[in-house]
Amino acid sequence: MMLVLLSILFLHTWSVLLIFILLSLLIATYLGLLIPLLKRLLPILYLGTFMILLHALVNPHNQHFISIFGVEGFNYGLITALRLLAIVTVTQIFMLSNPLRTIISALSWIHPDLGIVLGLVLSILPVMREQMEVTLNVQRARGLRIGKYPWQRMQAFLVVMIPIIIKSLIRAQIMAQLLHVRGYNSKREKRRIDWNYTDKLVIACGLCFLLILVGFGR
Amino acid sequence: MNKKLGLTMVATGIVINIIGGLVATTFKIPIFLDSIGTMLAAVTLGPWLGALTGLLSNLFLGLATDPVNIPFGLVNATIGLVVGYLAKKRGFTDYITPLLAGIILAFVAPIIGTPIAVYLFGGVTGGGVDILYAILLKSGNEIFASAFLARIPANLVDKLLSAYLVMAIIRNLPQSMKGISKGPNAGV
Repeated sequence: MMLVLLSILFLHTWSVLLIFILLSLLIATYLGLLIPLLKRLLPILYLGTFMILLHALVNPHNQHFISIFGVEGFNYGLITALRLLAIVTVTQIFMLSNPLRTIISALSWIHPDLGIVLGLVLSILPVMREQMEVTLNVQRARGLRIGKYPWQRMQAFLVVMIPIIIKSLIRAQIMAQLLHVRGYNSKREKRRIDWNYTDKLVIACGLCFLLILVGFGR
Repeated sequence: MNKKLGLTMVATGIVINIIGGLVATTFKIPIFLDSIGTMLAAVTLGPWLGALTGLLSNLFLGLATDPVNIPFGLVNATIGLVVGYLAKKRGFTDYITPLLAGIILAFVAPIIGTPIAVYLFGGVTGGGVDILYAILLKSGNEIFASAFLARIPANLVDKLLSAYLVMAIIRNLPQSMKGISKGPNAGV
């Protein structure tokens, strides 16, 4: 995936980027991921449209105009939006086809402590979200009003966040004690990665893809 | 501070970053407030673990929700480094160090973040900063300069608020959890 993402950086024309995106959508269709992928791409489509509009209107390099829209700005906005869409499409296909836990356990190959940290984050996050809801309801019951002015909202933010932070620090101490009691020790012998035929084939295909797109980008 | 507490503090810092950003979005606050956990980890554990907290926050957010968060991990990591080194030199329990941290980060964070934002998003964020960005572009400034200048006010408010919040929390922590925030002369 990293090689494919790197290859996107070498694409500079909207037509090649569009072909890339269409190919990615075809791959997503083959994997049965098209509908969830499109749902995740929707915010990027809105952002991309806004990007194109803004640059078409106010880009300082606009010299030729169609009505109020500058051609140079439109081109810049279009290429940037398509590049962003291509990057997000590839990464979303990767994330949809690999569950988060699998990615995190793969990251623990780099260092076991990295795996334990990310694993702890996965387990703490739902608890903290619930804590956030409870704190918000408690503070509302005590008279918290989220006003319309930014300083009022900031005050409300502090009133909600400070108890959450204090409780999370206490939880961090308890978790450290639990790790100690359960004998957690990150000193393990270094893992060796054994490359099999499929791994080598996938990396070779990625490198070929990168070289082809570098050629296209020129 | 022992290693296991360090690990759990990094994980907690990541979660505080995520929840902080979520609460700020829920309350429609026009600043980020997603680096409180990074600063907390940096002032207790040191600059490098603070930087790791920042980097992993964006990596986790990117893997769990939106992958465009991942490159901005560099910005969050830089926040950890700057705050960590300030805390190591001066401690973080006085009123001047958070002010210094906020002012330095108001410029350093956009320096790191603007090239990423311009390359990936054309300088657009989809938020209130875009109005200022559009005004600066319309007045003839280049894309990078407009994106950089538009981000300074939001970053100044965001980093000052986060730094003072962390300072207030650190002052009330037990001694065993204060880490390097006590300052270089704490043991004297």
